[in-house]
Amino acid sequence: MRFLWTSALKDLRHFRRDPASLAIWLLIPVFIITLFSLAFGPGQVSPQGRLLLADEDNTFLSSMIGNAFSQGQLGKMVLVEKVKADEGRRRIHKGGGSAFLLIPKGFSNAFLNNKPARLELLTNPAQRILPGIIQETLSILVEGGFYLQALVGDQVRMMTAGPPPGKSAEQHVIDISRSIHRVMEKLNASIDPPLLELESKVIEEKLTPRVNFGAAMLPGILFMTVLFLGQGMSARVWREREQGVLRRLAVTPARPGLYLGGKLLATGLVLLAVTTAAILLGGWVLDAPLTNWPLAVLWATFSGMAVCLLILLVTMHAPSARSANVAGTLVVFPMMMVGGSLLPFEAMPAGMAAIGRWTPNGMAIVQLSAILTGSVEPARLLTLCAALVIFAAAAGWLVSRRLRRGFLS
Amino acid sequence: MIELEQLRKSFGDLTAVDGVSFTAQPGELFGLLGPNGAGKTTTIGCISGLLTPTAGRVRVAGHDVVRDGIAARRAIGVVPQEIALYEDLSAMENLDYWGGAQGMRKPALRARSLEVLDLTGLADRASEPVKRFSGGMKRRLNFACGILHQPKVLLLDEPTVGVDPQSRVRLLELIRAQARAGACVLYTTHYMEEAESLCDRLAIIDHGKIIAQGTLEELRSLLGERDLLRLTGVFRPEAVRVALAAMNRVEIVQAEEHQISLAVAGATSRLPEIFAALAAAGAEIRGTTLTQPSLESLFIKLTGKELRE
Repeated sequence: MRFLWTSALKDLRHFRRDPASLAIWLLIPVFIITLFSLAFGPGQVSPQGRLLLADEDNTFLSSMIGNAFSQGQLGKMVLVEKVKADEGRRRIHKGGGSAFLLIPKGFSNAFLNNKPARLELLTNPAQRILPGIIQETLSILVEGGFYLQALVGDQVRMMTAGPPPGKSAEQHVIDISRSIHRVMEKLNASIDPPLLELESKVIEEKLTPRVNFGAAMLPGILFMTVLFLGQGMSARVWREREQGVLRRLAVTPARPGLYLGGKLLATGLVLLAVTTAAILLGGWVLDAPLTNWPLAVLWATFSGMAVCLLILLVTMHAPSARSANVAGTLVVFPMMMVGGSLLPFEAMPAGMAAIGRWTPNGMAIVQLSAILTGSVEPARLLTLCAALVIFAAAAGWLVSRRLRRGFLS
Repeated sequence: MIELEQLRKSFGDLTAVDGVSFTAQPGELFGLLGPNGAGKTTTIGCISGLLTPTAGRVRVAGHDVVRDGIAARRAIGVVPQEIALYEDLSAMENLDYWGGAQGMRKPALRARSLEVLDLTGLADRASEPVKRFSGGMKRRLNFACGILHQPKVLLLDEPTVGVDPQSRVRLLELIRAQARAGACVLYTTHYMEEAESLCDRLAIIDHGKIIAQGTLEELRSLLGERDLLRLTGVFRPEAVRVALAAMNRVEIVQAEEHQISLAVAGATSRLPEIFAALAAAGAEIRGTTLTQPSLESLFIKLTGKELRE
């Protein structure tokens, strides 16, 4: 087992002698995060959807529906775009929005006269959250409209119809106001004073805190470094093979598994240093959340080692150093693109994000974010830790077998 | 001690080593000679445990390299043909690593590292990255890593390839010292002069087979102390054979249209006689090379080609 440390020490010396490679692996992600932060600004990350609204009724009431989606917090999440009905249908079928709402001509008239009225809402199945929010908001509006109709429908109809012949406008308004007042007095008997005594209690907010763009990118960027480190480790193994040092190692009593273990240990130690620095710097510079940061560092280190092992496993089965380099690139770059390293999952199309969350680095990134924001589910984390251990054992065995069977010689 | 019995190693249809047998004793310098591709490196690969023999048996220091591989590898030191070193690490760091791979521990390892660095003349460059070393210095460090753990069996695979004369002399001295210290040294080379000056016993290998083995004297006696005369020009092989058949103590080693090789006793005094016979056979001689009896001439006699071809 002593050779494990000897082997790790050798690789740590390589890192020390070749600081340029390490610096490049670290600086590329830092450069990208800086660029993205500058491009997107320090604002909050909120998903923004698009509601395509075709208002054929074009009345005060129909415009109120459109305005309801532009108010308050909802207005920050949903962008309302007025379109023609045909255009709206065409765009929603192509996935060009979160939802399409058609307010048909005569809607206000039907509503005020207590006749059946119809609103048409088409949602985008490729998006999960925002179409749901729009649908829920519309349901609340329709329900609110129903109660309004039931309570003061007559008064509203009187108001829209105008004063009857022989009655002054002033008298008409007074009569309507009195009528509404009587309805409210009847209602007050039921709702004021409240029949239920409410006890208020402040409960600690357990919502996931929102973070700025740079902080949201931090876990992904960290795993970009992991991917580069994994690719670098694979390249080094092939270089050692081409230099003949692995052949020489094969004729010593040292076990190939210890050589591999040493390499992983060295990579793990570098990862430990890098993740600690990145997470703490992220908290300081990017105002990233640092809940459970020691656990986050450990998770990033061990899951990062597993990702490196995966890259090594793939590249070591290539027939030559050149094809190993190509195989490494073919593994690393799609993982980087889909797995949340170049773009946070929140900013990806839903389908791509769903796939990305199932990639090895994607799963690690999701958990790392959850640990840092304090929203991690311990049971899921434990399950993933167990899966990580099983994967590492299997991959380690496969790589050792490849070392013994032909790779060394 | 190295014992090979009918060693065979095939790679698919290609048989790289075919029925090789020899024994090398402790304290002995055993040379394995042959041209490139003759099977020397494959033989060393099988002895060191890097390659698994297809057939036959290999024992090193009493251990079967297949069944008792780790014990066999503990007894072996290998100096490979390529410079198998970490170039961005220092000489001392390389020795730390290879000593660790051999299971050596720190205080003894450090002392032995200093010793081999001193032996190889690299003590003053111990902390310098290997990439700054000259080719000869790298070769010496390559050797130092192989002898670090004082192996009972030392396998040297063409360790002087591309080495400057000064480093070569030093390396050959170091190799002799290992044998004097009791190690069994197997030395492969295609440099005849090195083998002649260094080895106690030799085996000549070609196309994966041992074609001759013994001490230098035993091998020379195969030539019958005859000189090797090589003539170039234009020849009619059949006419040459007829013309020289009647000549006493002249043996035709090779006869082709543009070159003939003859083993001749006292060739210097017999050149006019030979030239006359060849001229009568219609030969046109353009060049003459006379070689005293040596491994080179023996190799040509046995294989019909030069060692470096």
